[in-house]
Amino acid sequence: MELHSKASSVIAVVAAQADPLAWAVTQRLNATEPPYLAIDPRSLASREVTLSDGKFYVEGRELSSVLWRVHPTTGLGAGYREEDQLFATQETAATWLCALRLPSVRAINAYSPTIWYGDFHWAQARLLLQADGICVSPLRYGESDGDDARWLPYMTLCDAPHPGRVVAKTLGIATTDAQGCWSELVVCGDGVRRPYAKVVRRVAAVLERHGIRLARVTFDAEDRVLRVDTMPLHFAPDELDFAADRLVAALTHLEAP
Amino acid sequence: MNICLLGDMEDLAAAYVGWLARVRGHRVLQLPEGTLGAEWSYEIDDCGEGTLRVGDARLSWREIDGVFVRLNPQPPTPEGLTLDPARHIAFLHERRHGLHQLLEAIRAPVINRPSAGRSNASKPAQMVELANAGFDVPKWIVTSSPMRAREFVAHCEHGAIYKACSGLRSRVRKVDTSLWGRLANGTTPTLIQEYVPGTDVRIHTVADRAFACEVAGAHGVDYRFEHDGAQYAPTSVPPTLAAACCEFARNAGLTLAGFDFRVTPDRRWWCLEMNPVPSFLSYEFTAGLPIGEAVLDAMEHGYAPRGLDTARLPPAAVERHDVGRATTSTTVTGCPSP
Repeated sequence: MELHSKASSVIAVVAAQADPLAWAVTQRLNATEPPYLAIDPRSLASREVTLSDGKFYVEGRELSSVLWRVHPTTGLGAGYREEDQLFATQETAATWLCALRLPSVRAINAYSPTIWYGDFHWAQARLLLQADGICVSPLRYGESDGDDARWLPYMTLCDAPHPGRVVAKTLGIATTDAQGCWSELVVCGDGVRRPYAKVVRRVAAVLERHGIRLARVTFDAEDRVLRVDTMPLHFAPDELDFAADRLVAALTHLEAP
Repeated sequence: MNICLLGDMEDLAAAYVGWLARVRGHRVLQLPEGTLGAEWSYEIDDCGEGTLRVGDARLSWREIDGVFVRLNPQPPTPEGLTLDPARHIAFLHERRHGLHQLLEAIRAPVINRPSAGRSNASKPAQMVELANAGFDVPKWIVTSSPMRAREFVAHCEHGAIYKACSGLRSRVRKVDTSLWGRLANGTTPTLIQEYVPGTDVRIHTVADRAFACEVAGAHGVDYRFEHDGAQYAPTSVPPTLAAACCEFARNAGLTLAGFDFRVTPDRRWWCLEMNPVPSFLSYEFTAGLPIGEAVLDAMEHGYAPRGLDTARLPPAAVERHDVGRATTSTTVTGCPSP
């Protein structure tokens, strides 16, 4: 106990080395205090951690903030025997998932168990928005003819041509007549390009209530939400700068209330 | 009434609920995950409108009065379909997510919807939720540090147990040399919890009713694995606690849930965890608790817990299923006395 009460708090950036947003954030954090830990998700299970009394410690230092850029399907157990890696991944994810949602930890994103264990798939986030009264593009599920509707595979963020009736009824696919018209990166409650758009602010507020402070939202021509990417990987240069600045402010508690 | 069983038809709880439904004179439709697209298929929209086809039967989803769900972690692929390993996994994922969407869209009671009670897969997250809801939860720590583990255990008057952090089924054990060895060699975070001596009680909640079963006489700390000598008997539960369990399950979106308690001799009820997919048969058959009947009652009364469900119901469905009454006035049914 004493060891940790004396230790300074720390920010963690848990992300793959190739993650452009994490890279931009760590560039900015290099000039700030308190210090940060850059952690490769694949080796997360090997980090010494403690979750106790509402606080989370990583290698003896209390975690104050974390940029969590980890997908639920990422293996976290590098270094463990192959037969133990699934167990190591599950146990580690379960621990960090709790930590992400502690009041003492400012996490981006603080994924809920519903989102995390739903594999981030867009349909889960869509359900949350729908439940909060956000207008979403109408979808149909299951058997359908190969008409003009587009197929929205659950495990990807790209639509595809209708695969035909047999596939549709065997997989219970989602289809829609709506098309993605514009998308917006939302960061800590604001949109990057349409910060004053009412629909963007409403969607961002709902996502934030569910712990999602960074997401890309795709709207259709009627400004209904077609899809939500709760861990965007690709950014235009202006988006990257905006997001990195806002995230660093949030992680270091400098953001405006 | 039309009751659907969806997922794994080999699951004993599903088979039992189906049998009870037939005894009540209901029509039971079997929807095995592995035969989707062959023996049955569906179409449904966001409003819950659409068609279910089972064999030669064709029903509107509005004609379905309830769905009991048991999904197998390793579901089969359709007969005759051969896929390479990568496509096999993709196929199973897509189909499973498709079923999840179906189960979220159906307006009739679904026991349980896949989005409900997911925090059970992170035991520490669930314990935080339980404590926040006012349950007494034994003190715990999750750690991979031998030093922190020893500090914690040293402050546990009756010793400590350890178990998995995730939803993986694991046996609860008293802290032993095996744990110290694993921690010394470097292991994943482990959930260590103060051991509470007392009697195990499982409380099943079904809608606004609670059924308590005492498990006495088992040797060891985990009666699920060490059940020699275990005796199951109905027991009484404080009404406020029963109400709290029903409320917690309802807020988690669950119609059926199983709460594990350890009750100390001074009648303090310590909540260990909540299972969103409880195997209730062993409690029902040995203690005579009518849990399966309550599941059917919940379907017949159109029970819908809070969460995503009620918020998305259009007015017509609310009127039809009387959701408002079921969710706003919880009447806790007392448990049978021993």
